[in-house]
Amino acid sequence: MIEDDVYRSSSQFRLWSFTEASLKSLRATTNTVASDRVRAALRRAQDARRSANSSATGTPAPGSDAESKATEEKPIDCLTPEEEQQVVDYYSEQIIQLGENYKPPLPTIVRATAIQYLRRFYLTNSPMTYHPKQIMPCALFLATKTDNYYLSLRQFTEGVPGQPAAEDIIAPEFLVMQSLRFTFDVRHPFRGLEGGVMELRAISQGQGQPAPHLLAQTPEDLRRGLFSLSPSSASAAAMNDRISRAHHATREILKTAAQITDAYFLYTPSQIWLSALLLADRPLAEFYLDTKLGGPITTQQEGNPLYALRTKLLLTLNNCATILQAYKPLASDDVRMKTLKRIIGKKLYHCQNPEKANLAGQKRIPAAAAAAAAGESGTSESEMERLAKKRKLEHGNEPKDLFGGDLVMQRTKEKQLDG
Amino acid sequence: MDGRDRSSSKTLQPPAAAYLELISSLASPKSFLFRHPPRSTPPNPKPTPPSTMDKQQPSSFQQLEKLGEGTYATVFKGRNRQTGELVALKEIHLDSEEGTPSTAIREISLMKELKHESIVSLYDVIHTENKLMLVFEYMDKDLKKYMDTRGDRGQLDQATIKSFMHQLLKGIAFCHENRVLHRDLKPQNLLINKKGQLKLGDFGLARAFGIPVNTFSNEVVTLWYRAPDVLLGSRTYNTSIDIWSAGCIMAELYTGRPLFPGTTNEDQLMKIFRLMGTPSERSWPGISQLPEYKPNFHVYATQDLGIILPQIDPLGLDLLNRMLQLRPEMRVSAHDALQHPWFHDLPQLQAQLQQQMAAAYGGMVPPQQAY
Amino acid sequence: MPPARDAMAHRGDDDEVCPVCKSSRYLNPDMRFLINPECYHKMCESCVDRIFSSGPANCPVAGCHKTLRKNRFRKQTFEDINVEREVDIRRRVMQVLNRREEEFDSKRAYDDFLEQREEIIANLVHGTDVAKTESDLQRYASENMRSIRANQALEAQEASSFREQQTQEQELARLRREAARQEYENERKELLAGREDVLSRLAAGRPGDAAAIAREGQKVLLKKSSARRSEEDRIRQKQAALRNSDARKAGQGPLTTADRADDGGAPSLIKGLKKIKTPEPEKPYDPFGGLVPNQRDYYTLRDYYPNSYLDPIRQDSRMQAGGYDLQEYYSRTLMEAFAGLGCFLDEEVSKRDITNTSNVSRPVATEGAALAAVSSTGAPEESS
Repeated sequence: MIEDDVYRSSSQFRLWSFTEASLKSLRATTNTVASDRVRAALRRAQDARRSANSSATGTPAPGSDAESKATEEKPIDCLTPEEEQQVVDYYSEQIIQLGENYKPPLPTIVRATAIQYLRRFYLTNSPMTYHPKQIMPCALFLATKTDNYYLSLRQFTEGVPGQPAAEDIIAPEFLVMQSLRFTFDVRHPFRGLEGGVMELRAISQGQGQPAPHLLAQTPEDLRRGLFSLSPSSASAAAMNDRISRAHHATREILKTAAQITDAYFLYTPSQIWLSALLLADRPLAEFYLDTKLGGPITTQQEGNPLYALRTKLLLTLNNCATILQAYKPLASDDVRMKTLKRIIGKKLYHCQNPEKANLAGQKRIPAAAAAAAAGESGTSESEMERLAKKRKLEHGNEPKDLFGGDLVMQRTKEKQLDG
Repeated sequence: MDGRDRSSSKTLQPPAAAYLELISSLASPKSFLFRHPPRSTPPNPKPTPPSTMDKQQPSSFQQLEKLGEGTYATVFKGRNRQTGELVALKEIHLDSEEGTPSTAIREISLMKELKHESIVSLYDVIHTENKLMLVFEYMDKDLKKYMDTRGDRGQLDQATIKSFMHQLLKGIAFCHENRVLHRDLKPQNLLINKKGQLKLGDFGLARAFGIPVNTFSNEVVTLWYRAPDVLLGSRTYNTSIDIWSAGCIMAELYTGRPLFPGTTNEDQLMKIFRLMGTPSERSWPGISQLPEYKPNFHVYATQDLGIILPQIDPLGLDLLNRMLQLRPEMRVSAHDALQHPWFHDLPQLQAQLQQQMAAAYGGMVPPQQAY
Repeated sequence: MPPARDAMAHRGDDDEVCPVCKSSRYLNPDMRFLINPECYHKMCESCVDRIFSSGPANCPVAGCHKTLRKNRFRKQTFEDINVEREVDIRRRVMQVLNRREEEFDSKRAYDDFLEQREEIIANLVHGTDVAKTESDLQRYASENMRSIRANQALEAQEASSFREQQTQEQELARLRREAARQEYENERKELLAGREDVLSRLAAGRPGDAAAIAREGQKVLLKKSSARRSEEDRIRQKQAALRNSDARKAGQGPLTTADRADDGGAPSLIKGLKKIKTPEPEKPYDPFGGLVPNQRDYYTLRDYYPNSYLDPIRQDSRMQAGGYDLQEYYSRTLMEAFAGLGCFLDEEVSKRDITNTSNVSRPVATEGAALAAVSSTGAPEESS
């Protein structure tokens, strides 16, 4: 089918489409690699601290050996892939919330793009390496740029709770861009839904157009088919209402369930919106599909490629619908929120990779140093000064609450003191 | 990493191979629109571009002379240290307060989706300390420079004009089919290589279209190539603005001079009206509601384009007239333009062009010597 | 269904009475009969006007339920309605099954094709296996659209070049006749002049030379005419050579083999076509590489969609004047509604993983890590 080839040329299909198994194994690999690194980094930090201590106090070497053994015996408790995913889901929901902070609120499409950026980012990066709190606003800001919704960085920063420094928002920008493999075009199901609803309305008014492979349909056949759907409604107004209701319900599913689940990785946008329509109004969705692929009765089924496609498609759509239906907002679920607080508040705090915590500082210091070495002292000094000031500001804040406040952690501070 | 193995297989193509490629690319638009070589496997195009995953350090490119100044960046000629392959390095400065400029992000984003023989390929994106480097396929010249150095006072011959226009329209058609407006078509943004290929470059102003609620900025397209609807302040312009630019470029290929070299918005409109006639509410319903419309525009009668373009044949003139329609709705689409009878003798002309090229190369560069 | 053969066999005086309104030629001498190739039921012109002017309607002949349109009514070309129908069917089938002899492997295969075509025509004419035959024909037509079009174009081209050639030949013949007349005239003049010359020489000369002078005069004339004849031969040969080369050129038509793919799929209707042909040096101009622009598989775009959300835009003449085209919105939303509907990721992605193990699931992780490592210049190497 020609339309399918159009989708196959997209980067979403080429780079960001998976099977359930490949998605799972990818996440498992990312988790393993990140866990190993976190452990190694924490050990390095401890060793550094210990050697600093020992040189200061003159403690004999054997003692420190015993100490290091003790820490090795007590392994660092890293996040599991499932826990990582819950964390990412939580921050995906946070993007929807964050979008509401602006006046006017950020368009749905910008938020949806940002969520997909975040989810794509965490396919190959672990929250233990880069805390989502840091990545999330950056992903959203990047999405305003790619979706042509212009906001200045200052305007954008004002909407982010905790009023972080503008530099901190864009500090991980390149990291995010690179993890997205510079593919910023996310294919969403929203506009497809509009197209489908547009056609349904045309059918309801007797202006339906037969599908290219089912030319026998007449506009009147299509209209009659639509009005004979159960529960049958005789009036045009009632049908109009029904389509509007289905449209609205589908859109809601696309804005939430489709975003916070793996739907985008496992299904194509047109499959997603049709699955959501199945959930919103199954008879209507099935009727619409039949107008495209022929109903089960009207066509000769043996060897008919359309019939084969229809069978396969219904299976796929039902699988996708199951995923969408299973979604429950985290915020409305007290039990899950509690576990999540434990995961993010305690576990993630302890297994955060200390070498990656301060993105802004890490990124700029070497640049500034290099510039200074090259003799461009004029700019680099002011740069150094600015950075120093910023770091001081950052370090002044202690993490106050669970999700707000500053990102800089005790460990980073320790590391910087020691190293 | 495997990047080394892959890239080492790539060597400079001897000119002989280049002619063949030229011919095949011109005569058979084999991968037009969506029947590319199947995309189901990750693309691994012939001149294997060093991909992002290969941990390319910027130092793997040797920076050569400056090629030009883009809308938001500087472009250098570069050479891949490993393969010797020439590339164009577009350097984007990141000292902006806004992080990576959205123009750069937009260009990268679109170039990652638009893979077509008439659109310059983006091989890679590299980050250095405070700049971003886009690695593009190397093209020898832009059309502006090409016209300056070739032809009689910038005028090109029939066969070349037709071939360039064909490739230009193919590139535009592909963009439009993918819902992308280029918005800055001008000779400086059309790139030419030794094989006679023309490709669209500089997508810094390009963007997606087709959403009714969004309106666009009218600060697009260099003045001379800007469509009258944009000049009149429209923010709901569409694919037809690229066609207008293409029309202006076609005329310029014949004369060697820009068709409407205006100095200001107003002057630009007047230059257009003087030739194409002043539009009215009758010839262009709704025009009086456009922001820059003035009821006291000087009224000019429509001139015959053939008078200022004596070199053009009647069919070419017909196509040009269809592209240079004042009213956007009336402008021909890129698809339809490609089907215009003017292009029907393209295969024969290309055979001719091939001989010319072969003669030119045969005289100047011995085939075995790959510069 | 066409009217039964017998019924049509004895039409006899029916010619004079319209079977629908029963008015007769006796009362209305200007009466004209028309037929519609849908069912070939004959009726008079005024009946057609009366019944079909306000749009398509059913055929008024009892038992015939075909829907007929006025614009398809036409005069009968052949007196026998069966011949008329057969000619129509033949024309239609020939338009689709328009393979040319040079497309076949052998003369035998071409003959088989001709026979098959006759069989199809016969089937349709006599109503045997109509459904299957029609569907075969339909399928063939859709699968071979390109070559059918190419061959049609070729035929049209040949027809026009044939016409051209004919007029050219006529012109040549006229010139030849003219030349011959001229020649004859000259000859006659020469003959007369020669005679006069002989006479005057005879008059002036000695009597003994008379026979020799007369012989000489004959010889000159013979030489001239034989020279003329060999010149004519030469021209004739030249023309023949030209014609041959023309014929060769015509044979080199654009034989598109693209859609003649016998690769699996349903068995094709026609057998014995040449498999692969070396590409012709000059292909006809084809801007889309054989693709029909704007062709879609899941939907057909309309010019207008009722949508209250779009009404303000439709009414906003300023937006229209500024170049906004709702058609673009329609085509984009519908394209996005169906782009990828038939891409089954679970199948296609796993296939891709198998064929290209070096690129998807496993390496992405390491790539990602590598990316992270490269990203910030000062970060420690992660991917090692």
